[in-house]
Amino acid sequence: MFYSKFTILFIVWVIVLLAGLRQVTRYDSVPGISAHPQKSWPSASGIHFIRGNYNLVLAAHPQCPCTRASLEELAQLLSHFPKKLNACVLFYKPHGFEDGWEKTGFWKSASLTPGIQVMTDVDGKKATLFDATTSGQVVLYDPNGHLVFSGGITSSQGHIGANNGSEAIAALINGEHTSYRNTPVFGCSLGNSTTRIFKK
Amino acid sequence: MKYRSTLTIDMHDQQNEEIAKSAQNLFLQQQQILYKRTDQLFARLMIFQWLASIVLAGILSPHTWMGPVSHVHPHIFMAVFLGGAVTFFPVFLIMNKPGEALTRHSVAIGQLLMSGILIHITDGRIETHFHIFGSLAFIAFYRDWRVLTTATIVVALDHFIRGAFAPMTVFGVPSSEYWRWLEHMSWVVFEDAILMVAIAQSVSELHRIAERQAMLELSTVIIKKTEEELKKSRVLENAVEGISQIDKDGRFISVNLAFASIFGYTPQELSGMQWLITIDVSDHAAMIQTLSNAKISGKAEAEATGMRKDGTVFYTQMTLISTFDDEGSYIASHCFLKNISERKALEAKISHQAFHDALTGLPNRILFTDRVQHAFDRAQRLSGTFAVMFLDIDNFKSVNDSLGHDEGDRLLISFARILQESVRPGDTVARMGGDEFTILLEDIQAVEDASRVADRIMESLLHPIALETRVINISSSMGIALSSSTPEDTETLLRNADTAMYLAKTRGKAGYVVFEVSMNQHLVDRLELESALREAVRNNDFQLKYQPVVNMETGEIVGAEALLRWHHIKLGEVAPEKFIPIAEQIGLLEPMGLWVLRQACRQAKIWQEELSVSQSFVMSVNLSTRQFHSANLLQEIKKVLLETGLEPHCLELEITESTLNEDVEATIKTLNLLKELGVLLAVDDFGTGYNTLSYLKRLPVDSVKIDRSFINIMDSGSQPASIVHSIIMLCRALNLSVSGAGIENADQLVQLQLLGCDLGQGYHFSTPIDGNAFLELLKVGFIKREHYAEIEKKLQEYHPAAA
Repeated sequence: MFYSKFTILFIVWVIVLLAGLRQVTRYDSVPGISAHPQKSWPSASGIHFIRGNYNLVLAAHPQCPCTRASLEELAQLLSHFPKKLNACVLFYKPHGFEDGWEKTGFWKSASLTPGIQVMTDVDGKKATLFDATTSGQVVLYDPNGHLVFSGGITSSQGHIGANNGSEAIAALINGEHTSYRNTPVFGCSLGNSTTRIFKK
Repeated sequence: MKYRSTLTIDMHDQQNEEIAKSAQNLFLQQQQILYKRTDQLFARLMIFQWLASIVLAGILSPHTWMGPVSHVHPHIFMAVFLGGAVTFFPVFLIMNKPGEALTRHSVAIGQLLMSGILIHITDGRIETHFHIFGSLAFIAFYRDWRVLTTATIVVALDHFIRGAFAPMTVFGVPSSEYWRWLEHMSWVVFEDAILMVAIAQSVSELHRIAERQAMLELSTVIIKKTEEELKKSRVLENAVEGISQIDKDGRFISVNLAFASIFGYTPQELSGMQWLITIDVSDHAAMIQTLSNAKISGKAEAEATGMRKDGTVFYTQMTLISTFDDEGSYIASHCFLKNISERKALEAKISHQAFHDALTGLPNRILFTDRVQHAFDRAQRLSGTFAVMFLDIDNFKSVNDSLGHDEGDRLLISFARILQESVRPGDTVARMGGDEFTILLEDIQAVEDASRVADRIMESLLHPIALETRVINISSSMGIALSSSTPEDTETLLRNADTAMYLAKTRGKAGYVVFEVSMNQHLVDRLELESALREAVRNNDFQLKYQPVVNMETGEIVGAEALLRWHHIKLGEVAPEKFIPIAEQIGLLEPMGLWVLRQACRQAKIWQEELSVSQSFVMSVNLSTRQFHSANLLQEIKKVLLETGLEPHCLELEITESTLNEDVEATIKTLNLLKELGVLLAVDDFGTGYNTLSYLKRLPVDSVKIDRSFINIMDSGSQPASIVHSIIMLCRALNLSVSGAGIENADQLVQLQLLGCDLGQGYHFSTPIDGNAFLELLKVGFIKREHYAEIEKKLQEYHPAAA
């Protein structure tokens, strides 16, 4: 009788855990709104385009934990293509916020990574030029300034590790074929409203 | 040999089984210890992990943002709630069900899920994945491959389910790629497989250790057991008590030397034999039953007749204690034997003593009473009659006192033999105590049958009985009671016979009386008299009367004899002949005699003082036989003389001739002692016992009182007068004063005067009178002085010359 009580408790426990895990998975796997950037480099962005190299722009929220994963993945790519890839990380800063708000550990980490140029993006105006509304949004332009990739470089919310975005960028730089030109973006919203798309 | 080999193999198999069982137990014990210890470690670890996950989530993912607006990050909630849920249940089980399989499996599930939570919180860093391997390694502490399997299943399910529904979260790709899943799982399984092999090895080693430990313990037990068996066998072999072991078929497995010796066998001879060979056939059935009882209850005791090898038998007490195996099946019985022949003989002796008289060997009161009761039952059944005789030896106390107890015992033995010889073989002769005997005469037709037995006894008693120091004649008084004369009550029947015997005694002893119902009244009267007598002694309700002792020549009163009288308020004047014997029988004579002595001395002293009576006035007091033999006699007399102030020479103690005849030497000794006090001594009732004549000269007495029986018949002829004359002549020759008792007329007085009698007393002079009347006599000083003139005349008529 005693044992059967514990068995029932065990089953209830397992059900509770499964439900909890489902919620976690659901949260992790829901992407933000993907960008539809211009096909060619927007010169109005003020970001210097380096001809002959692939130019990558990452819109990032300096306070969003998911930025860590994106920056790590970016660093990985840059380490693989130090001479072929230039990157610029736009750190979102709302208007009116104190100076340096955006200069978090991520800023510091990104500035120390070779090949990355960091910029403050007040109210995400620059990111808007690339139609980026979700932190972690990456756009890649080829050496000729043509858009070749748009999407996230993490497999889920703040998840470091193998992902289609990074693999696609690597393939494009290597001149290889990739079927992933657009990937989901996992991160915080760069605007006042949510950018995440929850499936009903 | 074959049997031995099989037995050896069986024993080895049995031992192996025992070792395996013991090893398994030891292993399980150790495993339990390990499980519980690991449970405790996991409890601590999981609580720590949970708290660490909250801290980590707080550091790494404190908020989620929507532009400038932040919210608490879901990771915080995940760490707190999901981490808490993951941790709580395993820890709860560890606290409540440590060491249980469910606990271990819950820990495995919780621990692996906690790995997942930590990986999520740390953004799926590859480093954090090592937590999974660490957890699996930690789970391996349980050394239970099933728990590892559970852990592996958790990982597999997590990856499989998430891989199926959210492949991006697992593989980083939007669609499931099963080879990635397989790759993931293969590494986990790889590690698990290694861990399981390690566990199997470790468990196998644990088993070996447990087996070695079990073998060691079993060896220790076997060694101890063997030592105990050896010790026991030595103890059994050397035991003084007879001990044997009997198998289930009743055969001796082993016997010790003492056991075999008791039966006259050697241990080897008895080994393998049926144990019943040592028991008398008459007890076989009982002992088979005893063994059966021992097989059931474990212990049984019985007394049996043991039979030795040479066929002789003896009494034994056997205690059977059975042994059983672990399943409760009977193995054998140990038989502990005691030779109880001596005890049995003693019991028989004690039993005989309980129902028989030690001196005569006759049945005692208890047995006799029982037989009378049986006789009642039988008589009722057969409508028959039986009689009970109650007997005692007349004057046995005197014999006992004078001849000593040893001779008294011999007399009792002889008397018992005479009784036995006088009855039929089936009759019962019993000793009730002292000199009282009883006889049960069964199956008699009439009272004459009992009377014939009594006659035979009396006839036998006519022959003198030879004791060690002398030959004596005895008589017996007997009472006969018939069963038909009483209700069926043993006690009443015996009492009736006793009453009849008492009457026989009162009728002069040496005879028998058949009980009649009316006799009971006599007994009642006697009891009343006894009671009254006791009361009289207590209250000093007696009176002393005094009979003057007169100088035969002058008529002068020279003394007085104190005589005891008893007037009872209801019974009236009770004659001394009636109450003196009863007082003697119930032991009152001695105090009564002392009272008489004291009163008489006191009275004499008063007279001496009041009337200036001559100092030669003598007060005579009779001493009973019992008083004379009393050890305190001298002290009592001294005390009385001192108390009353009477001069010793004014007191004369009269001792009957029969008393003096009893142990002459002792009597002379006592008389000498009395003489030394200065009192006068007189032989009373002289002439009744002819023996006294022969040693009268040796007796230190002062006077002799001729028995009244001679005086009374002096008128009838010349012979009695000659006897009296001879006595007087003898006394003169011995220089003793002579007194005549019971002088009732002048003729007797004259004759005694003529024969030269010094003193006289009797009704002719005065009846016994009270002290006051005697005082008046003393004032005159002479008795019937006027008669003396007539006597003078008569003297002249009879013997002018003498006058």
